[in-house]
Amino acid sequence: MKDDTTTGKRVLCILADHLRPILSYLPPRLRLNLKKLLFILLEMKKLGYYWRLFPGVFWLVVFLVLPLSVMLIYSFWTKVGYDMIPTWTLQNYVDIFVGEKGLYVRLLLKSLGISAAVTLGSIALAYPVAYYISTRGGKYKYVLLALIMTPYLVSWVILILGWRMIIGHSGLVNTLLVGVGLERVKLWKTWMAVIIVLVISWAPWLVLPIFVSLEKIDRTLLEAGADLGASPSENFRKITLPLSVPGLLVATFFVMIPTFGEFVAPVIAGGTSGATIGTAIEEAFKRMNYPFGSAMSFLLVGIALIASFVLIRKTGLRTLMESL
Amino acid sequence: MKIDVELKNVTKKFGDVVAVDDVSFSVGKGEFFSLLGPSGCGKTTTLRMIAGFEEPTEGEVHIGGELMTDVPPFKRPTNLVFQHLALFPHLNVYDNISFGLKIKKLPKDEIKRKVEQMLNLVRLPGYEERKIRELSGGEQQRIAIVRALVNEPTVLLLDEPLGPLDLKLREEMVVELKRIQREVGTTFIYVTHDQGEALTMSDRIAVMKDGRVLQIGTPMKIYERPKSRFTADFIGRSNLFEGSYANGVVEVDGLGRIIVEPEPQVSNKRSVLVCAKPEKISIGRTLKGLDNIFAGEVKEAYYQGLVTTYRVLLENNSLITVVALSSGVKGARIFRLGEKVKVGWSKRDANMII
Repeated sequence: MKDDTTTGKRVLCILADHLRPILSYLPPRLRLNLKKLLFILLEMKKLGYYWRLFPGVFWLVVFLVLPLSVMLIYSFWTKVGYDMIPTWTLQNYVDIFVGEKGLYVRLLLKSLGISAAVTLGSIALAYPVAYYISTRGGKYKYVLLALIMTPYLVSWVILILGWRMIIGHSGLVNTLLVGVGLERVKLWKTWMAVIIVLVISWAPWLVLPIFVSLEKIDRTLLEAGADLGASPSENFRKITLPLSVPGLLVATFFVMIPTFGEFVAPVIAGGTSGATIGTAIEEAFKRMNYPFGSAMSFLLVGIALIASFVLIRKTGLRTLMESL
Repeated sequence: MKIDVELKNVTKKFGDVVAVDDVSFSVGKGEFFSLLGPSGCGKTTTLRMIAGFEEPTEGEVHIGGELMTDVPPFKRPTNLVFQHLALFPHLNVYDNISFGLKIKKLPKDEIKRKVEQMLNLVRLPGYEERKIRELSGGEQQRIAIVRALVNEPTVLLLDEPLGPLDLKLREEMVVELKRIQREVGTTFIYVTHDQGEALTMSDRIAVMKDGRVLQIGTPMKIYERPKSRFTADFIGRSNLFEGSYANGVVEVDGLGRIIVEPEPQVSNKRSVLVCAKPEKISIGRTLKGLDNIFAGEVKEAYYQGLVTTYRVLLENNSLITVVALSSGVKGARIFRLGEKVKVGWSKRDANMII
């Protein structure tokens, strides 16, 4: 007998040994089929284990793999009139870089810039809040955290429009400026408005991961720092800040990737000067140019994947997941 | 002797709870001073008040002759070795040890030299680049000690730093700590609940209970001449007899007279405790030349290698603990269970607790 390593085969061999006397009474052809049947039954048992993965796999397939595969396939096709022709070409990807005199590359860079600015801005807003709740919150910590989340009870679009009343043409800021005898400033329908609106919308959400990473810092480390001569501000710079980096990286994940492809805020708050790669994708799909829109989308996915990979490699998956 | 640390009538209250109650002591330069007591006795709070993490409700803390009230921890000439070490997990060994020096803005090459010197002191040369989580418990311990020591504090405070270690490692570190202290000559104030550690390392020990200092003295004084029932029981084991004192004799109900060293200050008929340490008591079939000899019966015997511990039932139905060298060691022998024996001790070893 050959060295059968799998349990399944070993079980089968034992079974076969016991069945052999019985089998020998049967005609040879039936004997062979019975053996085959046994094999198939064993394989099916193995399949049973895979079935347990079904709910998760189903979820992923329906919500992620399926739509993305359709998109991926489209991104290699060509639009002729209103029809998509399966041409299997890389032209769409090339067009992103060379088409419209580099417009899409500029939009891509602009989107990267905006998402970087939004990330920095919202972290700068969220960090002090998280720090305050974590260090001074006392027994109201979680109440305060819940309050921080209340803006999300209001629709995102309504929030953006609310900001129009503050920084819009005849909004609060301009009314005040005119009131003290200054010129109106154009904030609404500029890329600044896009950044402001996005920062405001992301900042509360970021309080959470930063808060968690601050909560995890052992307070005796700060005592140790003080004992070694560090003033409170030195303690913050040398202990608290570096130890909250995992939270900051999670925050970066939260903001940077979704903001990269953002198109609602740019359209409403940015108008024509708010054009980003996100709005370009939306534009392409609106014009029924599915192949080109898909190619741009996939480029975004690719960049996001690379960014995630770099972040994960830098922090380690474990630290990252622990601070979620 | 120059005094490094002085506590004057220090009291600390947390709300209504009195954690430290009117504690006074002074620690001399270069001394190894221990605060010994069970958990919750206020020893850690006392240490934290010296470090500056707690402010006394009443009383004063002086370090190096200066009043420390309102001086924050980062400005005090003390350094603390924390119970759970509190090493910085994001920094390597070098950055941990040099943390305090960098804040003092010492020149780079001096920092480097000092860190190297410290790593040599704890016999971990070449460990500069190691990460904290890569170190064993004992190694982390040593790094925590030198991280504090490298700052050359007037006094080094140690808050049960050997607590998390296993027994073998702890015994090693006790020897190591004493050696380090001898080599650097810094004043150490050491907090522990482990009498073995305190006895081995300390020059003097303060025994604490319920926020009060019960007794301060050398390990030998604390062990052999405890001044309270608590100290007698907490430090080693003790055989205690309650009786009334008169002219150098203590009358114990049902047992008889125990002869003690006369104490002129103690008035007659006063109720006192007599404490006899198990290893000071002789055991034998016949005993001669001892001031106090009583008859008894061996009820329990535990062979422990070098010594054997006996529990002997006396005539007043109390059990007395006796530790004697085991058989095989010169002149000693093992007594069987149920054997009638005599136990005895001299009046020198009958310590009276008033």
